[in-house]
Amino acid sequence: MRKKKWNINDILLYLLLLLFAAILCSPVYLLISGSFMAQDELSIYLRPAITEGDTYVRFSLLPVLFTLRGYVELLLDTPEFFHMFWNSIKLVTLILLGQLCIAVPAAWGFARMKLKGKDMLFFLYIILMLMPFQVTMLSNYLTLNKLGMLDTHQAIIWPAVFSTFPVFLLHRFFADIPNSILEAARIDGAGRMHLFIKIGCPLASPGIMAAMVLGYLEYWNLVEQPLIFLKDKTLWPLTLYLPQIGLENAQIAFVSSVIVLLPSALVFFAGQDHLEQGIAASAVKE
Amino acid sequence: MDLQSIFSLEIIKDKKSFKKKAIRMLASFLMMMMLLTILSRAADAVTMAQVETGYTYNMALSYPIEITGTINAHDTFAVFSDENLRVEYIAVQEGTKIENGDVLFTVDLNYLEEQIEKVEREIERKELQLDAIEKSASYQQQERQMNIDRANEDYQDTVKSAQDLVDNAYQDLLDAEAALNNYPAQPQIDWSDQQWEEEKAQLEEHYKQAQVLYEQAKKDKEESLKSASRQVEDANLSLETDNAKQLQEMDIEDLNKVLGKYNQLREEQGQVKSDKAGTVLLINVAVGDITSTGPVIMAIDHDKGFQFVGEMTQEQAIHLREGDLVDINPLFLDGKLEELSVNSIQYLTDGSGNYQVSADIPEGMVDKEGTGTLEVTKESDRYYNCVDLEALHTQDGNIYVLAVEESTTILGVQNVIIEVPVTVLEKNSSYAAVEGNLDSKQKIITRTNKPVKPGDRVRLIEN
Repeated sequence: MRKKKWNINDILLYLLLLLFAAILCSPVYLLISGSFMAQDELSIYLRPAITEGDTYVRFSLLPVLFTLRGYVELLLDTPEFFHMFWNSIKLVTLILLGQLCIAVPAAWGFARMKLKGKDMLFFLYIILMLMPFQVTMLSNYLTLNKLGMLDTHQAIIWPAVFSTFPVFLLHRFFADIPNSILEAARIDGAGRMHLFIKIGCPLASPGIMAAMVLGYLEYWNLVEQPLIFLKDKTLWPLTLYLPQIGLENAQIAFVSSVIVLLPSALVFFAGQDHLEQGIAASAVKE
Repeated sequence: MDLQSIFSLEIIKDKKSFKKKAIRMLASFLMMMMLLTILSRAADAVTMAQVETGYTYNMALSYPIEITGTINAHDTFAVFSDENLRVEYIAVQEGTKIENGDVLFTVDLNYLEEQIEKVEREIERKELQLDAIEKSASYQQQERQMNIDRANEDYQDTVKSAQDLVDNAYQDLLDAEAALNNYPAQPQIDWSDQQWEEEKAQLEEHYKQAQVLYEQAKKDKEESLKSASRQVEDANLSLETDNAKQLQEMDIEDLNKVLGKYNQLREEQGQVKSDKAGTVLLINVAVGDITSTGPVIMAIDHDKGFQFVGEMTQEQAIHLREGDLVDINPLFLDGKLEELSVNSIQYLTDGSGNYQVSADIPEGMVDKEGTGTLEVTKESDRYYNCVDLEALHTQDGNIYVLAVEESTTILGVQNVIIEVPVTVLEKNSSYAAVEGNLDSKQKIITRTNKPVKPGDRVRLIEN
């Protein structure tokens, strides 16, 4: 394969792209750089953001004094962080498992089953999906209160389990499975469950994985729902750890942000293929 | 590698392999987080301060006061003996308890007899001297009276003779005056003028001389009388004062007293007895010594009782008042002397700032001096909030207590330290009465195994 020859326009284009990429990546870089800065240094940089004054926040690209103190303090001396971390893991895991059990069959049903009022119901699903959380917050709150789920993890898990987005996402995958394949399977004696599990799910696995990865990214970063539905601090997920940190613990904030970022990044990389395929398929099919 | 491949993530050549790596890294990350969770929990358990807590007490603060001091006799008395007696036997020792009439010591009777004889002889001698003095005084008195009589007689004679001289001079004056008056105013026929004048001049001269003589006689009389009266006065002067007699009489009286005591002592077979109940404190003589004017025996007077005297600090003095009932624990006794009254508290002027406290010990409770302790426990008013003294903390002049409050944290219900500012109303060596936002159910930190501050999570140690 012959290598492409670069002309000046390509170089300028790439430099421009590089600049944009650098700007886009700068928050992550500054986050990682800040996590190795000393608390005093961070306090000096960030003080204008906290106190009133004419000066602006400034930040150094590299720490003046490289230190791992923040990591040691957070990872060895802050059990609260781990408590919240495992709360987040628990919530995300149960939500995703719930979605696997609820959203995937629901999407299959909407896509492949012939039911009266199915389209209307799906329309409602889409409307619900389009509504922001702030709109449904009050009704959610009242419902959860009636069900006695407030101030428990169920208040976060159940609404998420019955989220409409994965249904919507998977609906297309299931709907696009050729009828001929399913018919062939039926002729071979496959029942409904068999069709769903053996034919539907494998064929829609990129979509399922995409839904799981997107679901993970969404629910790992939940802020509003736990803040409103969970009064008991012991139930709080990791996303509510950062708001509790002040300027005096800025170093901890940077380190915890890096730690929070890590699993998301790893999940992204692990599910990158499926995510790309799922989004692409969804977009094309839309 | 070109830029395009970088931007298209083609840097990850084998996407499946990278996916597996990402999954493995995710698993490793979770494992590491699990491990770190355990470690951080363990570190938290190790580093978390352990505290002992107590509650506030509704109590009165007690002030146990213990003052070390001495137990002294209120008064001592001395037993004297007559002088110049030889001690034959001492019947008591230092510390011996004695009653009224107990024999203290005896004197040598033979020696006493000798002393009696000496005194008697001395009395006789003094009496003889007194007799001689009296006789001498009588003679002098007779002589004085005679001189007075003579002076009076001389005075009378002088008055009479002087008056005679005055009378004679006065008569001469009268005669001279009469002669002058009777002399003719004009010369007589047969007299020449010169003769008349010469005779008249003679008469006048004679008259003048008579006047002078008369005046002189009067002066002489005054002087004679003055001289005579002085002689009378001199004779009337009392005899020179001489106390020899009185002195002798006093000496004799004293000797008689000594003799009386000696005789009494002889009648009592030489036994010297105590006239009071007490405890022998000091014996100044030994067997064979000759007694002198000083006390032979010093003894504690049981009739006057004892008193405890000690020093107390200013802080103790705040709580102890005159009239308070206290216990005194003499070290030389097994028991305590209970409910004795403090009779005096005085500020010491030695600059120490201390006070002297004394308490009377009635007669019969102790019989000797020594050291002891005054013990009493005073109580303050009752306070609703009293805390252990260890629970009080001070910072920048502010006093506060650290209390434990259950707080819902991320890790669950935890014991968290809060600071409760208080005002100390009163305190003793163990507790302090405080005023502040405290109640009887609040857990107050009394002891910690490491420094703590408000907001710290702590573990309670069950007492």
